[in-house]
Amino acid sequence: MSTGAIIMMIIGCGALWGGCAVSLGIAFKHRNKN
Amino acid sequence: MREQWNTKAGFLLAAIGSAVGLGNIWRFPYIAAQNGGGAFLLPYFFAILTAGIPILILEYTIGKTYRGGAPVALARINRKFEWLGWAQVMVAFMITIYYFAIIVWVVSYIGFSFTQAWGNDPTTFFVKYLGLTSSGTDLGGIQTSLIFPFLLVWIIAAVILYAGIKRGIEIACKICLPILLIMIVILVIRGVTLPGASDGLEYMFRPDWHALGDSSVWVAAYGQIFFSLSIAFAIMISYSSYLPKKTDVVNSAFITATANHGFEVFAGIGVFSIIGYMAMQQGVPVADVAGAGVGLAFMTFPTAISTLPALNAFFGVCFFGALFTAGLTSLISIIQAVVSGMQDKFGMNHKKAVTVVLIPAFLLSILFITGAGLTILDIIDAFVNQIGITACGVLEVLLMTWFFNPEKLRAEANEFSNFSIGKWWTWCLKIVTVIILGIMLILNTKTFITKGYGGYAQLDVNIYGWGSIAIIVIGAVVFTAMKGKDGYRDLHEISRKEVE
Repeated sequence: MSTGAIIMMIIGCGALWGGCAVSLGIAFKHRNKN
Repeated sequence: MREQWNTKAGFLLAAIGSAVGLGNIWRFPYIAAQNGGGAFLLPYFFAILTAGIPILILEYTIGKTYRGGAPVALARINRKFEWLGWAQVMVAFMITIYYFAIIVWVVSYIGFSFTQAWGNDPTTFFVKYLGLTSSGTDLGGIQTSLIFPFLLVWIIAAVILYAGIKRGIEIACKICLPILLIMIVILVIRGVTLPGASDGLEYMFRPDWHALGDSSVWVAAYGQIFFSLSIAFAIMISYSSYLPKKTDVVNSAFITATANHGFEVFAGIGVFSIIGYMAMQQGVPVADVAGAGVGLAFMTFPTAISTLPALNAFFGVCFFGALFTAGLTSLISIIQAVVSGMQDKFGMNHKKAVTVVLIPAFLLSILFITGAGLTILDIIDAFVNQIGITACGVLEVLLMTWFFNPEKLRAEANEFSNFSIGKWWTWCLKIVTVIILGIMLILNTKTFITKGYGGYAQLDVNIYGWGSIAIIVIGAVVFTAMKGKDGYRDLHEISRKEVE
């Protein structure tokens, strides 16, 4: 498997799940407000 | 008193469950591979930020603020917009009747997985299993082998829907989503540890940067985002109408979109690593066996399951079980969109509205367990998605941003949000989304008019394809014209404060 494919696979999963984790963190931080 | 979600997490799981459907598993990996591989992620991310999340925020805001299914919520914004809500509800109804059939096949294939009943030739097996006829007008009778799974799926859906939002949909999603995630994790772990998996992943993720210069790749990215998020056919407006008023819709949209798209990229790793293994076993290039949709699920993947070195039945159940849980949570959201439309306009109680929707849906869905079921399904699916949903999407964004005050909607979205959206949101919808969806709609319609669809007979395309578009339009006109419950006619006079 080429380096480019590996990098894009990691970016694809990492960016989306990372974004989801950040959003969940924000929601958790403000859980009492909502 | 309008029913509400028990918890915000319950709403999020239901919204994610709706968005994560069959397309996440069987459509995304192939679309990515065909449109630049890893490079496709660039337009894909761009489309998430400029269309997917902005439209989700828009629909969550409409549902939560105007507190109704799509027809009533849009009528509360402007009485003249109600028809669009009914068009979206009609699209959801059309999808309901054929979506059932796919889940019926999936249920059967969970059973077939135990013995790999498809044998050495899954394609022939699938054709025989469906009793497939040569055209959409040759129904060929009801396939008796499909009756039991058909009734089973209907009973499961009815039980969930009759139980309501809190005790039905919310609980079902809390059960189904973790199961779905576990099954996909199992498939991914099995997939990436197989020999040949890297060939499949190379096929899916190898970046072809030249593809970014091709406009069709960008349209494909927007199409994937648009069709994957359950937007523009009443679902998200309906679901968010059951939210407490002080809910953060902006962050909820980010969570829904990132979880949905994160899931499809992750599931793609499992699917294409197993496809890569199968290609290696057969000694053919991955491109020769890669595919999408019904062909991937019921023809290619059974072959792949049979070639696995061990525990074939277990992994078969995992794959079709994942399709079942993903499909079921999407199906109930689609039906609920229709139910809330009827319930809100005609003042029915929940159970009566469910009955009014399920009876005609049940009768019409029988068409899809006949020998012509797959043909009819394929044609209706193409037309309802490519024309119906796209038209509803572009009209919704057009009306909300050009014929209503989008800044008012933005203020309503920001009111209880943990972080605020700026004017970028308005401009993404007003310019980028309208143009891209408009182009998609024009191109799709032109293709269907000039080339028909899928090599099917023009008579079949006219009856089922254009016929379903006509039903959506007629249904929207008729339901808009019908008199609703007392006070409904004056909804345009209800101020936002009164609505709350």
